Amino acid sequence: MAIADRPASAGFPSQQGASSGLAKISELVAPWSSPLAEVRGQQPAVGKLIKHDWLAYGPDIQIEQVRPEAMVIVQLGSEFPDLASRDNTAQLFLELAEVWENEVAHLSTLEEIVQRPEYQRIIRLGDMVIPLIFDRFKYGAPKWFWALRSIAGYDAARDARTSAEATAMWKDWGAQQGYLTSS
Amino acid sequence: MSRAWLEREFPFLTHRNFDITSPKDGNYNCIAFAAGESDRNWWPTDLGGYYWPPGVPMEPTVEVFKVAFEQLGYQETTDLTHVPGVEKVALFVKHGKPTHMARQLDDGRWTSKLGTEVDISHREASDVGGEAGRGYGEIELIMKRRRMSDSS
Repeated sequence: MAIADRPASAGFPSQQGASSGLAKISELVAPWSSPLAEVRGQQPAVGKLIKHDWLAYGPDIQIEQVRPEAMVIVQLGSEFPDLASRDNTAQLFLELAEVWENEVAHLSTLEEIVQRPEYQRIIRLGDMVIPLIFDRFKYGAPKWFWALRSIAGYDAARDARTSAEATAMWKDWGAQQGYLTSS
Repeated sequence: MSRAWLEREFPFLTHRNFDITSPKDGNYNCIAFAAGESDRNWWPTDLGGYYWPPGVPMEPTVEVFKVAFEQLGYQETTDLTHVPGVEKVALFVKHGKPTHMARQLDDGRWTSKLGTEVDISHREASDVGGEAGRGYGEIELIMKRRRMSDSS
């Protein structure tokens, strides 16, 4: 058993006798609402942290050298609440976006696209995910316009004549609002 | 999106009846493609970046789609067969709501843009149909106009 006082995204200290590589976390014991989130590390495996919902970890987390069957306890929510929250949201966003994009890839029906639970949940995550949405533009921007308008309460592409124009308008807005470092 | 994925998603697509004819592109959808455009999405919404013909109601109904394509010179027909010099489009519905449009090419095959993914050509209009969560449903409306040019 190990206790890490650093935020999740900072990684874990090495464990004596542990294997190298990343640990796949398969079970979360305590809810995120608890200041002490407890996860169980299974067999060491190379890969990113997956399979969680409200868990507060970022997409770049690297849990190093966790022993098989080891239990890892991570202190969250007190010393680094903003970081934990941001990383949690980013990971959740990525999971929701990937599921949603796969499910609606062949659809044109806007109502069906935007009413999917994953998309609605992304919208409810609020303006914290706007930079993440812009990053997702590379996989197709137009389907994100609805979410941006819903979160921003404003349609930056109202006068766009093409998808390319609308994409550029949203990026300009993002830069002006500080969500993008450049357009 | 692979051919195998398409064949799983669309029950009537097989390795023999369709070809992928474009790379993935999310900047236009099937309705725009049926209308001959490839730089914007067509849908009855006021959402910026989407287009809908001026004066046509913004409701996702078969009747509204019919009005929109009437503005492009199409008129309703009941005939899906290939007629040289005539361009046809087919509107699919699922649970009464429009889901897709396909356009007939001048060689008699059909072409469809699949959401944000690829364009395909397929042998029959109904090849992209299907119910039970797969495919675009049933053809509800067929429209035709004189073919103005090679719009394949």
